Amino acid sequence: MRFVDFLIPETLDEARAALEALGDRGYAFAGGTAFQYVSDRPGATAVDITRLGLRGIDQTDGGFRVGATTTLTDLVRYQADGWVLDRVATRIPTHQVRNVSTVGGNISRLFPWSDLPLALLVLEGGVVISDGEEQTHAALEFFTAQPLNRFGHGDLVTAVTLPAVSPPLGFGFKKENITNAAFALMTGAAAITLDGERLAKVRLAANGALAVPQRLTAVEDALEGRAADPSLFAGAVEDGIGGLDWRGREGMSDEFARHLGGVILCDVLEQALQAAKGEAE
Amino acid sequence: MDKVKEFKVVNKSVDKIDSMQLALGKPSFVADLVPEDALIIKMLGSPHSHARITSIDTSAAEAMPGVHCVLCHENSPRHLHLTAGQGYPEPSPYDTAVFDYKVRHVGDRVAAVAAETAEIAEAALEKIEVEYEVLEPVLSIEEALRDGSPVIHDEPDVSHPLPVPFQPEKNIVSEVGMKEGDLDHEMETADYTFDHFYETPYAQHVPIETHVSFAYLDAADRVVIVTSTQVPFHCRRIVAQALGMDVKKFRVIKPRIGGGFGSKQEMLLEDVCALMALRTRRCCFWQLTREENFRYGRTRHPINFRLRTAMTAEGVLTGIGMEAVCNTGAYGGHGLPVVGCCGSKVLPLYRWKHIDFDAKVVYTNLPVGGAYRGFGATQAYFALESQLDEMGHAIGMDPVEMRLKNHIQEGEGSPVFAALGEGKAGVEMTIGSCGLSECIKLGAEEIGWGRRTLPEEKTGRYRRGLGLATLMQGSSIPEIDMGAASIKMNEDGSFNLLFGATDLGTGADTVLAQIAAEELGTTVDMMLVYACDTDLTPFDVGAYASSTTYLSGEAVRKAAAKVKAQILGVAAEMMNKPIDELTVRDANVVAADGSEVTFSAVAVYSLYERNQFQIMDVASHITHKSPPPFSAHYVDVVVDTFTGKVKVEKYVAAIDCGTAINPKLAEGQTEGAVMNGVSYAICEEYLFDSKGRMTNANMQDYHIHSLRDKPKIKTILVPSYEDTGPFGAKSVSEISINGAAPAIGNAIFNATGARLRRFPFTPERVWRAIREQSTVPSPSPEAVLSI
Repeated sequence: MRFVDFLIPETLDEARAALEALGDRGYAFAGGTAFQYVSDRPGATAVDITRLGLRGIDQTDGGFRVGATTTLTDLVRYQADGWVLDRVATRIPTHQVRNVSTVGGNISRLFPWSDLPLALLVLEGGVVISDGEEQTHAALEFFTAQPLNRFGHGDLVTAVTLPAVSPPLGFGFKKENITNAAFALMTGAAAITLDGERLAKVRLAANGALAVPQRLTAVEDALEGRAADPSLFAGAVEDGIGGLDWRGREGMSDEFARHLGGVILCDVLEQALQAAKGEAE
Repeated sequence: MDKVKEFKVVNKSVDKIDSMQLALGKPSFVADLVPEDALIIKMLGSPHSHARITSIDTSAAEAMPGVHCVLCHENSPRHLHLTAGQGYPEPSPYDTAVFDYKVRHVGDRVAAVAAETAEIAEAALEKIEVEYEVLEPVLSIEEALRDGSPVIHDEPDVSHPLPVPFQPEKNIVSEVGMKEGDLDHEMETADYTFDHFYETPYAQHVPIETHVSFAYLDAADRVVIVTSTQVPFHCRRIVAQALGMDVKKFRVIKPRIGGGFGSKQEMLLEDVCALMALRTRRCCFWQLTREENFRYGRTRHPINFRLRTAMTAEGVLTGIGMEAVCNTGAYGGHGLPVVGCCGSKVLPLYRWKHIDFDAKVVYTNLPVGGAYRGFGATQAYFALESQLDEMGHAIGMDPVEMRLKNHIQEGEGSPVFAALGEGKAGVEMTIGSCGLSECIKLGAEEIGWGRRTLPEEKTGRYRRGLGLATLMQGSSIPEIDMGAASIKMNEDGSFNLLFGATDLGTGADTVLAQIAAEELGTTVDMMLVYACDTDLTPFDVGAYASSTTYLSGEAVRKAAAKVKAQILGVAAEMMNKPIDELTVRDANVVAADGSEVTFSAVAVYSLYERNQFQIMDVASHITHKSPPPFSAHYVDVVVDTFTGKVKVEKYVAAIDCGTAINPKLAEGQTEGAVMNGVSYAICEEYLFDSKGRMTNANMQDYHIHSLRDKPKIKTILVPSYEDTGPFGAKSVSEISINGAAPAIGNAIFNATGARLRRFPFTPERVWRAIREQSTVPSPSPEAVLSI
């Protein structure tokens, strides 16, 4: 994307007004890393949103609110009980990208390699959008379609929310890539809530070999209410992922993509179960 | 080992002489030096892998404001030439025109524009109207050799400068081979025989600096070409040939190079830059984009092997038959020398009595192969060292023991040396220095070889494996390569050291300065190095064939020895002493009685005081042998048997490079080559669509390892002394890329029992190999394999 102009508003209202006035030509710009995948458009104007006070992580009642221009490096460095996004962000390459890329940018356009949306999906987080007033959208609903299509001119993502993770809630995340600087071949995320020895709630999502992050509800349904027994995972995953459109990339066949998806999903379910039992590191 | 000597400058890790200028970002590279008013060149590349241009209309592009010149086959000279920089006459065909009426791979030159800005040039390219007659492409070795296959080089003026088998009508660039003993009989009678096929993939050098050049006319109307090249003198000769002009018309200057690895042993941009400068009388600048570098730049040749071997029940290697078919892509380039090195740099490593080597090079409509660090040996070692591992496993012999038992030793020769040269017979040679046994033993100790268990003993999802490969390479091309150097003394006792050799980031300038300083009895900071400028510096074939330290280094040492003799002569006159009582030490001439004069005083005396003359000299050097460095590579991997992912945890490279002129730089060369080799083995490959178009021609989709992927690497320098090299040195830079693929493949087998005869070892390929092997083969005579 080549921009013809670059605006630097000082307040959220100014930024929203600028974007509203620019219409299709206006682009909220923070880290800017996603724009290498956006086609040129005549008159494209960047609206810098990095000075609007949207950067930072706050603890809320039972969770966290992460400002939209918080960088991925901020996520890696932040430490608090129940904080798990460091595990996700640290697997987003590279250092240089993490230093500038922001939470808002990572979730506003979905790619096969989008990682934060997976975590927000399984943790049932929220996405806060301002159209003059802030409204929180459930991630489960927000990521069912390309998020940018939901935005009106002038709408801005201002934050995401997510719960603190501690037993009986456990979280698992895993990513396979060709090199440590490459996008994911396959990414999986899982959240499990235990009720004693049973799986009270299972949330599972995958990306990489799927076009966009997807919840795997068939697997979730197959496991919820059943015993917290990892030996059940492989069968449920095998039965539950067959109908998905697994696409091999980077020389990987569709067949292997599906196989890899199955392995990674079992891995993240095991991670999540272990964490839900309080056995994780 | 007993020849290892103590030196004052050599064998010391002095700082690279250009390190500060590079660290400070001083203008050093071609793109730093381009005049601001230079025209920008952009190229129209072919969208087809095989097509004839039936019409081309450049008028709209030429009419655009800001466009100064448009070149295509209709307005450029046609003198078929070879883009590869090699000894002359070259062992490769003249099959390339500046622009041709036919395109032979996606990205091949169609036209080029020189304009005031890159944007104007790119817009002009879109105005060029080209009509193609699309031809059936040849997209594999098998298709190239099939009867009735389309002929890629059907132009009537294609030729070969040497009398070698060249059959363009069959898409065959060349063939080479040799026989020793009776392999067929040995394969019938030996205790154990093996016969397998191996495939090695395309790969790109991926230097940080893509191909880049600019050219302008000087006040005398000569064409000055400033370019990132490993071969300035070859470049000058080839540009002159391509444009049908005299060599004297051109001057080639090489500033610092931002990485080459063999890719810049090729004249890819310079002819167009020169022609544009001649047509426009403006400076014209061209740098390839990363995508162009993938499509139009050079690659590692993919080579298919059939390897047959024979051995006794005691593990004595007796016979080898290597059939290699090399895909050189659309142009002949380095095809013959590369496939020749499959034999010459590989077969002599072990003491075979029966040898059959049969290799051919074929054209395809795929990207063009070129020189790439390792140069054929990389590919062939994958086949040989993989099969050696199978041989040892078949009789239950430890791979370390098998190699110690069979490798070539000091004082031994090989019929391969005399049989295989570059486009002609080779040179008979015996090994003068060999530290391979010690490399094997020290490497085994460092990797912890004693804890290695057999694959059938391993269980669980994550399995650890250890692998080994042993290697040799060469040091220059005997009786073909030549290097030269000149040294001139200044009145402060410093020296201008000029040579035609090229430092492509390796530290060669520093190494050559160390050699000169050692011989002269001074320090590196007194050596003022300049290289390379074809108007000013002596000839050198350039940086390839592991030649710079060994070949150019000896030219430098000889020049320094001549200058030293002059210094001693002047000092003898100054001190009134017999010359044979004088020596040099710490930038002084010292007499037997302890009296001394400084180098500065000697220089001032010779320049200003009596019997004045300039203390300076020049020396040239050719070699009559190509002494191999030797190396043992060990790797420790963990394989995820569920996903097929291979993680290299530790890599040990023990290397005998003779005297390491600069041990830190030698370690750097080794580590860099190991990283390069691991990357090639694990993840690098060209992906093509059904039309022969590369689908991953960018750094997002073509993966290379970076420091983020670096395993723990341990380099062990094993000293030896090569009498024919400068201060005992051999080469170091190429050999260490050759070990990763076979060592990792062997480690995967050791971890899982799955044998891969094709790489890169991507997760899917490894997963399939694990899945497809029904049982882990046991060490027994039943494991004898034959096809």
